[in-house]
Amino acid sequence: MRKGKGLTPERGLFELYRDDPERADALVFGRRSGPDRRGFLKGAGLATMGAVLGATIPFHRNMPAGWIPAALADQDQGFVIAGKEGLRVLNDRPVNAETPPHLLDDPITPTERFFIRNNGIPPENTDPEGWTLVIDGEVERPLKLSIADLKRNFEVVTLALQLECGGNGRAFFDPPARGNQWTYGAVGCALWTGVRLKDLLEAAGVKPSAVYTAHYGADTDVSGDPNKIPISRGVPIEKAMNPYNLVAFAMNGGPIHPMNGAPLRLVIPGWPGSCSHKWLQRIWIRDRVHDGPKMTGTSYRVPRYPVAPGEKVPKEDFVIIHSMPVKSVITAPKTGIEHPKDRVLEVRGHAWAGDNFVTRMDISIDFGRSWIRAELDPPDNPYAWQHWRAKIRFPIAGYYEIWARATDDEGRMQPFRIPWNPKGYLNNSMHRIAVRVV
Amino acid sequence: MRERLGAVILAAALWGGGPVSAIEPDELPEGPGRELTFYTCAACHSFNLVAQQRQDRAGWADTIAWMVEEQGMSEPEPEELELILDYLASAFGVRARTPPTLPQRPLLVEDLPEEPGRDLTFYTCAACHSFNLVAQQGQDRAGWADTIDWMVEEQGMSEPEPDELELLLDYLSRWFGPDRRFLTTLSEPEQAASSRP
Repeated sequence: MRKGKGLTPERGLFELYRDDPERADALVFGRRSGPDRRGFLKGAGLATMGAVLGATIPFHRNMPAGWIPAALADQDQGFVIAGKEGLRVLNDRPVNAETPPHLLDDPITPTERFFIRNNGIPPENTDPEGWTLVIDGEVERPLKLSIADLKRNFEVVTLALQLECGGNGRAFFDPPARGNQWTYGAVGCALWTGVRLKDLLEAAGVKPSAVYTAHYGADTDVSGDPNKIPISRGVPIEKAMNPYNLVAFAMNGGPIHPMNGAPLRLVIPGWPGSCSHKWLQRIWIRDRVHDGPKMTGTSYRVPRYPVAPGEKVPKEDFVIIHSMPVKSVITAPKTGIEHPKDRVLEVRGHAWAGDNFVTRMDISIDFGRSWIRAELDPPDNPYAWQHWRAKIRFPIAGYYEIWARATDDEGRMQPFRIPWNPKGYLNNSMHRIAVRVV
Repeated sequence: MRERLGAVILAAALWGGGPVSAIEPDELPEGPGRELTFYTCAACHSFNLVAQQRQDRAGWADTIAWMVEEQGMSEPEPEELELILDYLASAFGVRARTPPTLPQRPLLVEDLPEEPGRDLTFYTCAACHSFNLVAQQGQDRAGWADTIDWMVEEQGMSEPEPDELELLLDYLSRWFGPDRRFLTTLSEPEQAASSRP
């Protein structure tokens, strides 16, 4: 951020002025202020600023140094997502944004830091009043429920549940895989309040012919075609009956953020985030594997055998992703810090393992030659991520990488290298950060 | 071209000390300075040594400075040096950083390199989704052809005319290929995410 390369396409007015307002004055307008930090020294920059504004500035003598003219400030085109903070925006139509790892440090991810993965354009009206959920298809008693009905007729529960995008980590694929280039932060663990999906399905009476769920929401396709559904995925009925799936109407004790699916969404933790449909309106129980948009072809699918990086895989050899693999993230310290040699460094973060539990967490500061066992907490409830921490002493000043490796209850560990697949899914290779010990 | 070059190097590696055919200048990637670079390097050593390297421009400048100072290479004229460095950095440079650093504002058509196909590419893609989605990708020509096929078949994209498709694929693979060249034309952006240690 402080490389000072001037006003380049990705370095907007705001950023320049935030870094060094007076320098920004000079860079953008050639402006230099007087000793009282007001006005334009010998008129330097006044004509330029006037030309950009399309007007002279009558009170230019009073104009503070480092001041973005409001007329230009209004034109700033940087990404702003109301109610979100610190996210890295990958794409603005549809909106996709991830959380830098050091902003995932909280045990429960705050709403403003929860990542956004959209396939379509969110609905404009997310008023809970008048919102209905339909459950139909292979059921004895199709249901049509308001959010008030859900709260009144079913047990309301609050659970800490982690969600991760199936493509988290895609940015590191080589050769690159197409799609949003997520790095580490398409993951979060919020407190979700709602009713159990299982309770709803039991109230509707799932028929023996039921095979798969099919989820539909109120978002619209990016093409603008009102008849086109941007995404409709589902899960096998056995997974749908897991008691930790929620139809949620609250997030972290408050409203769900509009970009995270307000006013009603599915939370089907441990599986690719796309199973947890946002702006939920209908759950159709099907007598076959669902074939909605992003269920078929190669979407959210991986080859059923290991492949070489770059290998072409026939479509029929792809299988639908079920549970996400064991994974962890280092949330403190932030990568790139300097640390005094004589002080102990606490390293911490979270770990999760899809449908499984994390049973062991190890840290390496010597590129994987030796490992230090970290303290690992049990989850608040199944499908919550687990917190871990380790205290590190460094033997000598120098450059270190801290690597983190989680192991699940079936003994599976995070790999060193990406298990490459054509669509860039399931990258659970170890997170590593840099620390310079001085 | 790269494939053939790769094959030559691979053959050299497999055959060990056996007879191998040296790289000829017309086998190298095209570009200004190709012949100058070839003959400057091959004056003293096989070009096969050069073709194995991956250095950015600063790395190549260091290498040449070292050869001049310690290896008895005669110093190139300044304008020749520029041309050689441009060619080496482009043909034997490092791949774009992984993961890509991304602009934190919507990309506009003027942000893209002004070459045939620019406006067609921008407006074809941005009709449905943000161009920022395109700018992150690193697909070769075949990958882009697949991507467009998929969008036409499954995402409701209207099929481009054959001549438009060629222009689109040329532009996309040139600037949004595996080296993510377009992103390297932008200077270090503000990036909330720490991209790597």
